[in-house]
Amino acid sequence: MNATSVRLLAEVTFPGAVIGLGAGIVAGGVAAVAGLSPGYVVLTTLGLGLPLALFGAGYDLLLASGRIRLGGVTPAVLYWLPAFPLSRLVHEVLLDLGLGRGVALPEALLPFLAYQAILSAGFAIGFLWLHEHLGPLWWPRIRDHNPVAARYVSQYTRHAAAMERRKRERRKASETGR
Amino acid sequence: MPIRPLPEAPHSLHILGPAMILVALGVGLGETYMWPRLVLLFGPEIRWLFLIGVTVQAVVMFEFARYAIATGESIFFGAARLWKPIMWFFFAVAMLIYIWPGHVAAGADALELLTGIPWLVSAIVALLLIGVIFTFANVVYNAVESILTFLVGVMVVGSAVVAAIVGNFGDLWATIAGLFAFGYIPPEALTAAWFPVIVGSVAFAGPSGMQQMWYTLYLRDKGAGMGAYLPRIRGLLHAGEEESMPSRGYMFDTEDPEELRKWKGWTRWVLFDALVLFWGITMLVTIVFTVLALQASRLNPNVQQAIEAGEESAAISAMADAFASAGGVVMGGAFLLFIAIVGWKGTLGIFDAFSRGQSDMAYYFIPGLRRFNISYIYFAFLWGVIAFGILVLLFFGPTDGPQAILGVLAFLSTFVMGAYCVLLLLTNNLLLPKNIRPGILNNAFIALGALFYLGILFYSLLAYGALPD
Repeated sequence: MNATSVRLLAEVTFPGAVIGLGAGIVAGGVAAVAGLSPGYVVLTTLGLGLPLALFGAGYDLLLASGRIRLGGVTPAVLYWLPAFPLSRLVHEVLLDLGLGRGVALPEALLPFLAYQAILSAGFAIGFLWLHEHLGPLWWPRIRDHNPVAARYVSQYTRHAAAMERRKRERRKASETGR
Repeated sequence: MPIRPLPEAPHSLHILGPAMILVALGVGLGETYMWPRLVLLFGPEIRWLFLIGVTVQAVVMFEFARYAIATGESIFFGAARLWKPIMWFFFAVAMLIYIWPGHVAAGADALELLTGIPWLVSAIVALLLIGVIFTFANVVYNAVESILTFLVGVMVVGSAVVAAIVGNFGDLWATIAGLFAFGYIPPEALTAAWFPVIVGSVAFAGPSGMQQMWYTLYLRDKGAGMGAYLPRIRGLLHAGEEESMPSRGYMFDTEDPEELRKWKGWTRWVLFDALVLFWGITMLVTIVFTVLALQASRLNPNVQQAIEAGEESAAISAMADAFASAGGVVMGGAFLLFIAIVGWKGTLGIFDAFSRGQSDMAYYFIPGLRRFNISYIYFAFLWGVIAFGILVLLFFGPTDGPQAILGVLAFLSTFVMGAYCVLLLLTNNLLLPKNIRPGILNNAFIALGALFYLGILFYSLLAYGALPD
């Protein structure tokens, strides 16, 4: 893989990765505001933020490959169903390692995973919500050299143009008929 | 109404839509503060009332959308079609309820606990910021949508992550099971001290008060259904670009099978909004916050006594302490931060929606106002309510506590919710053509809503002589 492809890949996966990392920063930020130890803050920010960022990037790769559609709720929920619990598991392990407690999987692993899996639906909707917000700001900036972004922009533009055209036609019809 | 073709519904079930604004407005102090507080006091079983409240709200949302999409008119216009005094009643109630800066004051209170910034300063700055943002925005709807959805997105992601760290499966299960404990009312809830609090919390389950009515204005601005024929509200600096507002809404030919096919497409679109976005996200956020409250309650039973004995304005602080004892200080800080965000977001959304509703009614029904651009009328209401809000904050001062303002709001909210259920039954069954009227099930739900809201309100008044709190 050459430098250009790496750059294109990084650009395409940027929104998902940023939101994943952002979630880690929110968790770490809350820990910092609440006065927890710097070690805990860093381990939570990175230990949770990095796995979520990686999975966020993975979501964008699936989107780019056309396997899931832009703005779809169900695919996002299904994607995060295993991804979110896995990220939390990595976070717990890294916390143990980092705080020198010796790695121990959470007690009652199954209930832990089940709990995380249920919460994953909430994370998925929030993720998608922000992704649909960040994407339309990001894709137009890189569409000139990035074919995937150009495809997204054309999808959004076609949708917007159809809506606008429809509205203009209707208004014209209503004005002539008033 | 003039007949025009119904526009085609959007093909994809796209997540961005007016329901996001309603969710953003609805997910507020009720979900993050009032209901978790009730759970601390009465256990998760009390949440069956929340389930009923939010489910009724989802059907109400669907029915409001039915009127707005079919006509392009706001529900206020529909009320005026029935009998103008009904519309003026809602105009007057809005003036009574929504001019108070209660949400932003509560948010600023939480911010003060967290950062030490005096609440009066941050509340006034927050109010001015709201006016400035809307004044400089090109199309106001876009600005509202962007701000609210971003904040709610961060809140949904943030609360899911924080709950994932500090909660556990047992509490989650208790919370979900509590939703189905129909009929559970502990004896201590049936007292003059606590029943009004329950009534107020029921009113705050999902979008409270007139927020659902304003949803019809957002649908029009978004161009949903026949709303495509009406112009949008523009920012103050761009108000001159606005097209002229027609004098009424439109209707499509409900005898034409092709038009009815498109109508079905729109009802599917709204159903998705009502069930997945509105019902789903509201449930999710409260479940997360309830899990956190349960964790707090179990680890620190003293919190319950503090809330029972203490002043209401101390409750937010007590709950922050409860969360802190449950999940380390992480949760205490997170709780205060979320309250601060939802407080500001609540006022931003409410002041915008209030100004939309009032300017819509004023433009159409106050003689002589139609020569002004509707955007100018909108901004007169917006800056008016901001200026009034600042005066109230200065006048009441920090000693009179923001919670007192929230109490007034909760009482009137409950009443207006019962009233709009009755209005919906009338508009959708009398004003809409037969083919697109609600079915018996939806009508039954709305009637249940009217009985539910007005019933608990008057029961509280008659049995306990107390207003909702």
